[in-house]
Amino acid sequence: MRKPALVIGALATASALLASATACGAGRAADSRDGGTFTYAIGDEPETLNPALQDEHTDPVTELVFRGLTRHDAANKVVPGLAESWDVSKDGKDYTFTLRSGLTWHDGKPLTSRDVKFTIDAVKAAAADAPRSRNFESVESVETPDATTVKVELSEPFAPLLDALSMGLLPEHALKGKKITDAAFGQSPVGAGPFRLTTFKPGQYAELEAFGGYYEGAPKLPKIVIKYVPDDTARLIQLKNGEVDGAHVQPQQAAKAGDVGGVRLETYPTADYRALMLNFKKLPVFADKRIRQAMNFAIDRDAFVKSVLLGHGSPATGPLDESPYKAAGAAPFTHDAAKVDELMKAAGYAENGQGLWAKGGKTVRFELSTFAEDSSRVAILNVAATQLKARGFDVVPNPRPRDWVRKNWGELEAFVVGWGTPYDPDTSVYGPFHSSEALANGGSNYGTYSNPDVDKALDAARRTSDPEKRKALYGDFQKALAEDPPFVWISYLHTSNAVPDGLKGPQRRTLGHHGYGFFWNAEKWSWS
Amino acid sequence: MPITETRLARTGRTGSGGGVPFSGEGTPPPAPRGLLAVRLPARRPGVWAAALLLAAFALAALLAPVLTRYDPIATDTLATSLPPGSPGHPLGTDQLGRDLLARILYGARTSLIVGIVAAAITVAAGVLLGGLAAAGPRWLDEAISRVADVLLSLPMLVVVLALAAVAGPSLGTVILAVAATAWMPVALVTRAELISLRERPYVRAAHALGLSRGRVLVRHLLPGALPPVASIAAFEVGHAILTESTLSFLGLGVPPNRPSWGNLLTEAQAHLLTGEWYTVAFPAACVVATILAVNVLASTISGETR
Amino acid sequence: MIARFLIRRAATALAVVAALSALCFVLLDVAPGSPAASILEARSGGRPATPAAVERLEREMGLHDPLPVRYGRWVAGAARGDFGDSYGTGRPVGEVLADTAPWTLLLTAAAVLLSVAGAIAVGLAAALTRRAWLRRGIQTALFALGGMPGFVSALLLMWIFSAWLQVLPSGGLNRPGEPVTAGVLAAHLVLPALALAFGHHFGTYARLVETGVGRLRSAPHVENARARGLSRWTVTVRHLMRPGLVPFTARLGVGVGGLIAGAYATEMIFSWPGIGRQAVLAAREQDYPVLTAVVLVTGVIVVLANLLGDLAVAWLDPRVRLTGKARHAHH
Repeated sequence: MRKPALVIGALATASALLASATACGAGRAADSRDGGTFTYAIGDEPETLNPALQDEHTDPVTELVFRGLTRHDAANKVVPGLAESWDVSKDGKDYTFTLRSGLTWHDGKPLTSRDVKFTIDAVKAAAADAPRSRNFESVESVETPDATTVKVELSEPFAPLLDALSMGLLPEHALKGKKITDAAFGQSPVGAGPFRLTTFKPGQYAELEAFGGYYEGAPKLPKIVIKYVPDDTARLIQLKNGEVDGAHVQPQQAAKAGDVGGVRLETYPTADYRALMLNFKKLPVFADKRIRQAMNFAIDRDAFVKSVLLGHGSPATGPLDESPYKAAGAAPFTHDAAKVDELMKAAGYAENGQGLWAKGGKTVRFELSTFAEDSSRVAILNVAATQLKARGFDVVPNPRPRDWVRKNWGELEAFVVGWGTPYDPDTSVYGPFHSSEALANGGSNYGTYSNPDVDKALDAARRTSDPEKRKALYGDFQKALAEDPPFVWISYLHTSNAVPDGLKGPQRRTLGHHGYGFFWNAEKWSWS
Repeated sequence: MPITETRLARTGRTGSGGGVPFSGEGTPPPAPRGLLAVRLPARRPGVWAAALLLAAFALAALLAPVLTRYDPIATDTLATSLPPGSPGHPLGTDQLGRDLLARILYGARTSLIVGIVAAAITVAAGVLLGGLAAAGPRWLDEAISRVADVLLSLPMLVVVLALAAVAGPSLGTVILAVAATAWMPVALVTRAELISLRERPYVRAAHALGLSRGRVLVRHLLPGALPPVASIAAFEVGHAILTESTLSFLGLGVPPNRPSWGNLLTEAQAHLLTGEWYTVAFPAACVVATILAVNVLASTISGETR
Repeated sequence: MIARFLIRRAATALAVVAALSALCFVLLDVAPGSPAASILEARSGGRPATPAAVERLEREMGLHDPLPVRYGRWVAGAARGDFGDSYGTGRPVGEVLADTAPWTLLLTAAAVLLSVAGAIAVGLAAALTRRAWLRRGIQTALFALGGMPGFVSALLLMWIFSAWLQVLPSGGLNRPGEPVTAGVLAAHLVLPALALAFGHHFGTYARLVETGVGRLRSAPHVENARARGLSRWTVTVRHLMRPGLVPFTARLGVGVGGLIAGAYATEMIFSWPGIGRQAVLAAREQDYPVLTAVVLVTGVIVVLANLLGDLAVAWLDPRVRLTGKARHAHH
């Protein structure tokens, strides 16, 4: 028996299948670069597209579908959105908004002051269900004298309110009588933003169409498709193959993405920082602020930026370095071995036989953890542990599963955290650093950090509307933080997006957590 | 995972009963895991090479601290992403400047420990349960066989996934997950061998001579049943290493900071296209080479016990 | 006879499924971590949730009820096809399954076809060739394949065809926004199907064909058929392949189950929106309702596949008596 026909037949079938598939397989997305759809791949997929259920950073689809009363410009300043203008009373407790005229929702229904009232009332009432409800805790009442006027009355001044109202407005007619967490609305939302969601396939993609009724006129890009590709490598491959026109790329992939023909890289700073949170409640050794200062001097932030971030970042020495509220003056911490020695000796420590700082036979030993699933945080953890160990701190690196961490926040000794916002600083500094927000009180001050000067500055900054006074108060806050550091600061991340050469419009801005906010002015984007 | 053959394969191989599956009475014993999937007519040089390779890996794992002066988790921001052949780093470094040779050596410790311990537990549990089924009361036999049947008709990865999701990543989880989902073939083989041996004249003679049940079991039955069990045990090591790497790859295996071949692969996967092919190639080669070598040896053992 | 056999097998299948669901539910229930915390964290983009908020949501979701109550509630729902809502997205799990299961079935079907065609081709070639080097070569190649974790071969395929040669798309079903036409789908199907079909288990199939057919090559009935002057084709198909493929076919039903399980890693790598990917994501996110339902559905598919395998053997080999005894399905 030599060659049974079946063998050949089977092989031929298999190869024919392969060949036919190959023939119609790849091929660059030429059509889309000729003025049609912009297809963009991103790793993170939101659980819901309801803006009230997302924290202050909004994913691209939600950002494109929704619009708030206010919005942010290229400098992250609050500017009018759906509200044309507003008035704030002298005591900072009464806000009067005037809506633009002729606003409509994506389904064609008119957008009126009733929707504004509904949004604020619903989010406030949702309490723990909606992370942003904390922004509306001080709202006493919302009144709607006419269809385009909204009066918001506060029980006490709350300066971040205008910033908070950049949250997308929710349509009363779509959500009335339903819970704000309604899953159907989260999957097929109705907004008033520049793009209308036409298809949402969880785990695959979201398809958006220019909304003709948008208040600034229809966007120039007819269609945007956001494709969810969690794997970093797969995003790069799809970009190379032309399966997508643009993509969010990690630092490791950024150089390769830049080499792809017809594609340019847009790299922007973000306000998203990484730092080592220290648990004061768990480890008494952290009580001595000289040890914490010393650790901050032991970190070589430039080496971090160069190695872990491949240049896509900048050193962090405080929570507001990328904010308009950044305190004037030089960075409080540099990489300085002599300073470490000086501080540790002042604290009564001496180097033991293994080159570790010890006092009374005890080293500064602690476990440094982070979410094991987050590879970039694990990288930071390992480099930080190596650097601290080299300077005599007895650090044990041990990433832990997310589930374990969630159950055991109080048990963590030190943890790689990420915080930061490019918008109003209150949302991202009050929670982690105010003593009233300690973990035991259900707040997000996980390390139970407490400093009266910090508390005072944060409280005052919340109640002051005057930008100059606020800036001074946040300056005091940063000074107090540098003197008594709650974290070991590491670095801010930059974010890179590959876009086709033919796409005009993306504009540099300091972006938020996860690099979200890249589409902030997408209504002005166009094909050249 | 290597595939366990049904008794079909066994009857097919031996040719007894005219190659007809389950047409006869009783339950023919299922064949050991992977018998057909990976069996290769063993040749002396191949067997020697496989044995040498495994011995080398084991020795390297054991002597890791002697063979490299690097700490496998210490980063070096001045020596990131070095290609293989760089001075001081024969296999290069990863993106955090960690020495790849050190990571592979220490990774061998984890991967081989998982493989050997998991296989040992699997075999011990299998022999114990199989022995109990063969020697114990009828209801116990029935219960053990039924549970094995049910477990065998489930795709193992699904069960392992559920286990790993529940227990969280740890060495113990991986070992337990492997053992919990792989003992059945061992148990069934042991049971079948014991039952068939029980009827042999020399065993009957031993009974007739008045030896106690336990003594017959230890002196006459177990030694006879050991060879087929030994060949499964060898395959189990390869199976365990494969499962470890798959679980780690899915983010549900060995804790991420502990070097293991599976973890190295998971971390390196993203760099496959960014030029650092070697961070993928070396650990992958280690996994594949180990499994192949184990399977060569297992084939030899099962070949000789036939 | 067949009816009785089917009833017995169906009863066994039901027992397997019931045992599986109970096992899953209990296992998932003792898992550490709070799904309520997962949901809140997901909503806030990765920031930890406050214990008070977690507590509230847990109460609302009924997570504080006793275990039997929750299991009973789940079984009652499952019987009506209602598996509850996903903890992650709030979507009904039934909907999630309806969205994902067809894609896994398609992928598995393609992989089974490729696998069967390939195994028969390679197995026959090895069994019937007189060239020792060819047989040895095939055996060595199959042996090497057996040492390759599925995700390694998948990554290798992706690297060769998507990154290097750039001839095949690397993941998903289609380019988003495009209609899923047969051609587009076929192109996206090739790599995952190949990776799944020629995984490490492929060697088993090929070897089963090889040994099944090889054993019969000089069997009396084959010699007899040759002596009667029947054509080579007739001898091969009727006297060698039909009986020779019995072990292979019997294994195939079980193999489909193995393929579905193998699809987990493959679907992850190729972003194939099937239940395997869903299961891994659900396992990571502790999305109990989704994970439980996926495991159950996979179990049901596997049990059905085993049943089909039995029927196929009965059809191929009339000597098989359908005794109704549960057959071991090994992986």
